[in-house]
Amino acid sequence: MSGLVSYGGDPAIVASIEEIERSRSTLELVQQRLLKEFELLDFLVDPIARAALALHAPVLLARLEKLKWAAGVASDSYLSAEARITKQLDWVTSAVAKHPWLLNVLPKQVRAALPAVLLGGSAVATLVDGKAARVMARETLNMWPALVAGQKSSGQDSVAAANMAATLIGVTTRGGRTAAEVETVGALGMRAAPTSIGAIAERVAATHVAEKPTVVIERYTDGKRSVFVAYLPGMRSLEIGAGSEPFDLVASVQQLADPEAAGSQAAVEEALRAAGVKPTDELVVAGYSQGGMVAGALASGVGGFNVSAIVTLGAPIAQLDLPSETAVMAIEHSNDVIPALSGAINPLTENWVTVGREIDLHLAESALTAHELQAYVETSKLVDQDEAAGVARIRETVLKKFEGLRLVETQTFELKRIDG
Amino acid sequence: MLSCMQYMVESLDELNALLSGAKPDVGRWSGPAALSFGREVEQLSHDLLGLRNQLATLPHIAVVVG
Repeated sequence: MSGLVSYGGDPAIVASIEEIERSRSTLELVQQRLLKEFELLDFLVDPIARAALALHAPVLLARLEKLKWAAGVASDSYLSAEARITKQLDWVTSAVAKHPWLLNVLPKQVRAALPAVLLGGSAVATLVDGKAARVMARETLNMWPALVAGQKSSGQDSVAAANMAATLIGVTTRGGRTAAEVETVGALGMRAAPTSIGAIAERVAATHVAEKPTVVIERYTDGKRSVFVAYLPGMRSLEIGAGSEPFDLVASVQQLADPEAAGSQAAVEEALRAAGVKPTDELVVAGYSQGGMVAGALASGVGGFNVSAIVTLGAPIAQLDLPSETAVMAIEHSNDVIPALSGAINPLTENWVTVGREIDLHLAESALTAHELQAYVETSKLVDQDEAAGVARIRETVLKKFEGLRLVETQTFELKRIDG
Repeated sequence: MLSCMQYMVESLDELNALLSGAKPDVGRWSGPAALSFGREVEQLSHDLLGLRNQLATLPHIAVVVG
């Protein structure tokens, strides 16, 4: 047993909240119309028929109510942010029951069972050493209840929270764009195309642990067309507003609030252009954490590239509107709070599979152990053996992108944010 | 002028047509939950049709008031 749990990626099982809501609304309409039959006070005319209808109506109305309820349950269990929140809080509750020491590492707000996005906010707080970052996380936590008052939680809420957080740390998230430059630092040794999701994850991991901020871009061809594959690191620095590291905490917040403004986004786009990726070339992007967010943003159309598939490891991407023709493999540990920063759950569509497992947390381990890259590499290897229809289908779709193609070159780019 | 019963039957026909629209669009909601939901809607529709037919065969009685 791999212990993997997945949903999506299977054309036989899809759900959109709009469709479920449409069905539910239609039932509501039928229910209201049926009730109106009794407003006519027509019992004086055709009283037998009217009485027969009155006899059956309560049962019909009850069945309609039950169906409406079922639609609501389906909607919640598949797609709503509330489902994700419940899942996260359930995890916290059960984890604390199993490991009481967790109470000491979880912030008070989380203990007070605030929504999952707060949990994500607290995760940022535990990641960060800087005073401003702690303020950011704390203020995000403090303001969240006011933000969500009277409205349902969704990915947009998370985006709004990120905007507030970004403002608190003095980052412009709208209308500006962080500049970046790239430098080719020599090609890595030629290597064959990855033949598994685990191999892709290992290449992402190799990029993440590089000494300098780096992306690796491979180019494959069959002589007629080119397919590029980019491997992106996760957040590498906890600094705020200083240094030239594009994959820093500021960019993480910007990725959530406005990806186009993020230094990591600008830097990766520069690298792609420097590697010769044209808007018509097929592009596959794999990334960990913030790198996964960059991959998601590219797939959503930022940068104008033709992204045909993405593989993300522990990245919050549910808030993104990704095209239905892009294959998405989102690997997320169920007790990793970072993907929950999106404030929503990934959609249940045929092009997008979400797969993951729960990571065992032991005494004295950080609550962020579930976000560790090595754990994601191990999970990715399990994904290769998973037989779930959605997982198998998206896995094959991703790997077939470069099947039978010849590797032309592997380029490594060092990235630098140039506006400080 | 339509009798009340005719009106009721037609109204139930309309309701039935409306109800059939509640069935999930396979491309947008499919899978075990959608299947069982669709089956329930279909069964309800079938029962509504049965009621409509039952009403249509009942004797028509009009009480004139005033």
